[in-house]
Amino acid sequence: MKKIISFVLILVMLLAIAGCATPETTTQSPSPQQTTKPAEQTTKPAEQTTKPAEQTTEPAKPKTVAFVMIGLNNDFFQALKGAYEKGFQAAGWVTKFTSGEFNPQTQITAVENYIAEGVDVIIIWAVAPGPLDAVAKQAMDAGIKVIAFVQRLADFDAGMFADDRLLALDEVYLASKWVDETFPDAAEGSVPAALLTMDSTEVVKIQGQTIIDNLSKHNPKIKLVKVFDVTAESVEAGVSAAENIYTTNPEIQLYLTVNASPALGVNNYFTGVSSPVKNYEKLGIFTVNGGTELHGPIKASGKNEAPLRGTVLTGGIDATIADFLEIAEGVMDGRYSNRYENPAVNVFVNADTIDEYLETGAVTSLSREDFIKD
Amino acid sequence: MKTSRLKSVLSNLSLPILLAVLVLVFSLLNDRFFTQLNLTNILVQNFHIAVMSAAVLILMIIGGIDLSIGYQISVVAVIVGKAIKEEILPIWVALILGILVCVVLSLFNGYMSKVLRSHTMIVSLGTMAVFQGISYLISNSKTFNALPVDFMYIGQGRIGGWLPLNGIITLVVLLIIGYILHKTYIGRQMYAVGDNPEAARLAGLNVWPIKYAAYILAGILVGITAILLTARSGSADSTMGPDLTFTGITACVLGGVALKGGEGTLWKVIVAVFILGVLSNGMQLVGLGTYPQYIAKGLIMLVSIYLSNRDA
Repeated sequence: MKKIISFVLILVMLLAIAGCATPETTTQSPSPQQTTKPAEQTTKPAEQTTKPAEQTTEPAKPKTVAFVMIGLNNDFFQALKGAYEKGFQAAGWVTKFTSGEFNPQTQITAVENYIAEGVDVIIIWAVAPGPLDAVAKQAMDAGIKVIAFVQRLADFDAGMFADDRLLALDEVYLASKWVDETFPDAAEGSVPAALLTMDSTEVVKIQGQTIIDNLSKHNPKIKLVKVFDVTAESVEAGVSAAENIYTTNPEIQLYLTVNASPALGVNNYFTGVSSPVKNYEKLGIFTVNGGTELHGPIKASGKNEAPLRGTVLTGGIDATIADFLEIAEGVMDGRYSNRYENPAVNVFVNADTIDEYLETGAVTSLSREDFIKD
Repeated sequence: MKTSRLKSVLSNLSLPILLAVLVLVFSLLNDRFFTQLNLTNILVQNFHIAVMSAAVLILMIIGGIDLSIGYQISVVAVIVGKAIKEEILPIWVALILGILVCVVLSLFNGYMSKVLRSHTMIVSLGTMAVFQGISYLISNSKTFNALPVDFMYIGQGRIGGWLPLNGIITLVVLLIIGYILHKTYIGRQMYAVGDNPEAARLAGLNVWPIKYAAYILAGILVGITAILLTARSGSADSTMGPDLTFTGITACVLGGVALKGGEGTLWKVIVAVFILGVLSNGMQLVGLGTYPQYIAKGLIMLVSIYLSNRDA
C-alpha cells in the first residue's frame, strides 16, 4: 500500500512538473523540417539501407548547433537563449542548450556529451577559459567546429569576444554622462559613489578593478568612497547591501555594480515601501548586462521614478545573433577558421535609449564615441 | 553547589553574552554600527532567517535535517511572485497557496523518509534537486520584479513609520511556535520522538503522525519565510533561498540543538540567528568581504559542534 501511495505521489509530482513546464524550457528545439517529418524519418529505415542513391536526393540534414552557456538561470540568459533559438531555427538549424551553472566541470561534461552526440558546432561561453581548453580541442579533433564566446579558449575555430574591461569602462562612461547632466556645476570629488562588486570570477574582478581605476579619472567630479563586496549575485543581496551602505554612507549618490541582480536590489531598496529616499533626482544606479527585469526601472528613471538609470549590454541581441549565424555558417563552409575573431559592440541602454533598444534590439543613437572626451 | 548553579546560568546565558560582546566589538570598530538605523537593518535582514531557523529547529528536534528548505523557499517565492505579478490570483490567495505548497513539499520529505527508511538529510539531498527543478520550471528562469506595493508592505512596511511589519509577523509566529514546542502536548511529544523514537513508541506514542505534524509546522514556517523574503526584496526568482539553508542549520547548531534530535530551545536559536546576523553585518561594515564571513560562519559551526559533542 505504501509503495502504491509513494508511486502515486511521485506521479502527481511529475505531472505537476510537466504542467509547470513551458515550451521555452526545452533544451532541444527541432527545426521546422524535423518537426514536420518525424513519421518519414522513422518509417523508412529499410529504404535507407537498400536505396542509398535515393538518399542524396532528400533534403540535407539540418545542422546542429549546441550552446554551452555560462548559465541559464536568469532573465538575461533566458532572453539570449530565446533569441538564439529563434534566430538559428529560422535559418534551419537545430539548437541545443546546456546551462553551465557557473561550473566549469558542468560545462566540460556538456561538451563531452555533445561530442558523443556528434553536433556540428559547439558554441562555448566558458565560465573560465583554462578548464575547457582540453575538451574544446577534443571537440575540434572530432571534427566539430568550436566557437568561443566572451572567453577565449586555447584553440577555437572562431570567436566572439566581449572585452570585460571595455564593458566596465562603458559603464563608467554611462554613469559619468548622468553625473554631468545631473550635477553640471559640481566641484571635483563632490559626487560620492559606491561600487558593489563580487570577488567570484575573473570577469567580475576585471570589471570591478576597471571601475576603481577609471571612475574618478574619467570624471573628477566623482569620488569612489565605498567598495562593497556583495554576498551573492541576487536581488536580496543587493537590498541588504544598499541598507548597509546607506547606514555608513548615506551621502552616496552614485551606485555602480558589476552584476545586474544586486543593482536591481539597490533599486528595490530605494523604491521600496520604507525607503529613506523618496526623491531620486540625484540618485543613480548603473550596471552591466541584465535582462528584461531592468527595463521597467530604466524606463521609470526617465521620470525620476526609479534610480536604476542604465546598463551596458555585451552587444545588441539581434546583432549578436546575426554575427553568430554568420560565424556558424562561416566555420561550416570554411570561411572562418583558425582562431578567427569577431569583436562584440557594447550597447548603452538608459532612459533615452531604452525605447530604441526594445524596438530594434540595438542602440545606434548612443555609442562609445559620444563619451570620449576631447 | 553554588558554583555549579553559576556555571549552569552562565552556560545558559553564553549566547546572549556572545551577542553582547560582538555588538560591543563592532561598535568600537565602526561608529555607525550601534546606530538605530543599523540595528534596524540587522533586525530586518534576519527576521525571515529567524522564522526559517525555527523550521530547521522543529525538524532537528524530531531527529531530522532538511537540506531542501532553501529550494522550498525558492519554489514558494516564484509561485507567489508569479501569481501576484501576473495577476493570476489575489495576493491573499497566493500567500495561502504558497504556504500550502510548502506544507506539501515538507510532508513529501517526511513521507519519503518513512517510505525509503532513510534519514531526512539523505532524502532531502534528492528532493532539493527536484524542488530546484520545479522552481526553475515555474519561473522559466525569470525574475518577477516590481511586485505590488500591498504585497511588499509585508516585508518592508513600517507601522507608525518605524516598527517593521515583518518583525511583528516574526514575533507572533515565533511566540506561537515557542508555545507549541514548550507548552503543548504535541510539542513535548516531538521532543520525545526525536530523543528516542523507540522509547516513544513503547510509551504508546504514534511516532509518525507526530513527525508529520512537525513537517507540517516546518512547512508553514518555510512558506512564511519565503513570503517575508520575497516581500522584502520586492522580487522573486529561483535563486532565492538556497544560500539560507546553511545559515539556518548553523544557527540551530550554535543554538545548542542536538544533531541526534530531542533537544533544542527556540530562544537560543533566535539569539544564534542574530549572532550570525551581527557578525555578517559587522564584518561588512568594518570592510571584511564575503569570504571572511564564510570562514567565520564555518568556524562557528565547527566550534558549536565541538561544544555540543563535548557537553554530550
